[in-house]
Amino acid sequence: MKQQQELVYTDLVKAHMLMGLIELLLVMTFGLTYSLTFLNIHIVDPYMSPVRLRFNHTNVAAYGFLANCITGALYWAVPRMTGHPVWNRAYGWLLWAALQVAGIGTVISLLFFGGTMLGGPELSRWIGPQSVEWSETPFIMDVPITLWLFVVIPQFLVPIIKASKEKPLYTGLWYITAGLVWTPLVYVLGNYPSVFFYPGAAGAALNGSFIHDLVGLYVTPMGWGLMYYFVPRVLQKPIWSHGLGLLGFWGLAFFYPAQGVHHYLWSPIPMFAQYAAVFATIAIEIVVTTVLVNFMMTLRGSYGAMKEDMALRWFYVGMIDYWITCFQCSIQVLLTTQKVIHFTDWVTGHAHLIMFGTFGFWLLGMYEHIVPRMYGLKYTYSRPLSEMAFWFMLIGTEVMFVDLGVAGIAEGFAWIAQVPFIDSVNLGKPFWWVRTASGIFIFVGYIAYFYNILKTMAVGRAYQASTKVATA
Amino acid sequence: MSKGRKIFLITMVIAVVLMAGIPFSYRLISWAIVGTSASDDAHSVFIVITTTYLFGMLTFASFFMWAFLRGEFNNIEASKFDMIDMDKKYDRIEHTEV
Ligand code: HEM
Ligand code: HEM
Repeated sequence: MKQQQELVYTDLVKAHMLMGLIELLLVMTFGLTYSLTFLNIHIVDPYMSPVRLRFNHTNVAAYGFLANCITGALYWAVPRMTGHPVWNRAYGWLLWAALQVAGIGTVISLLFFGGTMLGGPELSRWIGPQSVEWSETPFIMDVPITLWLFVVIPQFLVPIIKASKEKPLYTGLWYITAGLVWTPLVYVLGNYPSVFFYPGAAGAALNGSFIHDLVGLYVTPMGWGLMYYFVPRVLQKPIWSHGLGLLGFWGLAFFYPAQGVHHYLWSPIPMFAQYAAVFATIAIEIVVTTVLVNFMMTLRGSYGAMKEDMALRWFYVGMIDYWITCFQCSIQVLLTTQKVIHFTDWVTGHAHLIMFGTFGFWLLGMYEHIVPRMYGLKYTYSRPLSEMAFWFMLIGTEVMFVDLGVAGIAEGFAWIAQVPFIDSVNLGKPFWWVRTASGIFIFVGYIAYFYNILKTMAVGRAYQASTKVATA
Repeated sequence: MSKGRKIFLITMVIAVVLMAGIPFSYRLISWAIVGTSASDDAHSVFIVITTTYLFGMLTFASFFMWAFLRGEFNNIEASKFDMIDMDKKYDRIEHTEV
């Protein structure tokens, strides 16, 4: 049997986690600053236009926070699920450094380069933000990010292949394998063809696939793959039905990639493609429900654990948020609903509940579980801080979701009624105030979380040092 | 599996494949006709989306067949017990118990 140091490289878990958590702080700072610009409060004007704040907010969320925290959790979960360490520790450090260079390079470029700023419009295409939604990462960073996504595959695939030779693969590993293989392909699809080769409707269709596949074929499979490990582990019992789990996985594999065009409904993209996307989007709701039923049945009989275990609470609240958003989406994707809510704050509400209220919550829960255990402890430094973080972030996120949903409907109907545009802007203002207020709640809760994690690490190091002295 | 159950299962599979397959093929053909005979933009959307989707799906369909033939789904519930037992074993060694 292998020792801990050989099986799980905790140094890599910590390094990715710390960078991910720092970048989440950045995401929230950009988000809050951006939300203030909607209220005509421009604290960083003229250096940062609202658009640049948005680029940073979304790109740091994807490539800074999510990429780092997911990779860190994989360093813990994959060896534990397979019984084999990842491919190579030194290689892991190289990958870590490359990811940080790509992340920081992207932030610098999105803040200071292109357009009327450094490098000017001539070089914009190469070193400045690209004007394709979610592909704003500059070209000079696209290349290293693409490479990174390809070269990270063997790091985690090697232990998975070893395990697959010994026994049938566990659902969690199916998800992670698919996520590893899909992501680089999705990134290539979204960042090169639509920017360089296909302008117009074809490019938009591809870009829609990219937006959806980035969240659906990277964040979603990684998130669920990790849930299939962490929930049974925390509950100390296996998942209710492994067969149902596999059904969910294959359903995701076959239906998700067809949904991309739903980001551009009622656009010049031909209607036949739009109908296909609507159909696939509704079909995925069935798949989502099977996955949710599986996890709810696993919890049956252990409801008390939700009170005791903070990690489990993050996991299940995230799952409920997941179901709510996906249900909301199977309605929002209908062409009739789209007439009202497309381009409104409704979509932003959806994006926050799923990106933060589900995947963000899960990752926070995972580290709440992992960090004490890396040091041989059972709990984080302070339970009241944990509780405070949980309630502040939960209330903030849910209020933001409801607020933006209502705002979206109001804005949509105002546009349909063809009132002067400025009236619809004024209509949005009270809702944007509430968004900023709920953002402050999230921010305060997150500070409590981050402080608690840092203190747990400090206490853990002291505890490890004292046990070393005691055994010496 | 009893003979009756087997016949029932095969009939069901054929029924589902036919029920889903005929309309799907019909849609695909009409899609192809619309896609290839319409404007240039519609044409390129058709080619781009269909080929990416079909390639992706072919890969996954082959992956699925590979897993099926390899017996990945024979004892479908076994790996959930293996995973948790293994995790508990490592927990005892590494003092990372829940
Ligand atoms: C099955 C579940 C889901 C469905 C049915 C769904 C559906 C949709 C639809 C229809 C839109 C476009 C709305 C519009 O522009 O009018 C959208 C946008 C969006 N979705 Fe989802 N979604 C689902 C899951 C997810 C997941 C899992 C994530 C993140 C991990 C996500 C993140 C986003 C984001 C970020 C946007 C906004 C994109 C933008 O910037 O334009 N969605 N979703
Ligand atoms: C302090 C909390 C936050 C505030 C105040 C905030 C604010 C905002 C604002 C103002 C927008 C722009 C909406 C628009 O362009 O109309 C936005 C978009 C977005 N935010 Fe946040 N945000 C916060 C936290 C987060 C977190 C933690 C994540 C992800 C983990 C996130 C992910 C996103 C995404 C994906 C979008 C794009 C949505 C779309 O295109 O519809 N945000 N946010």
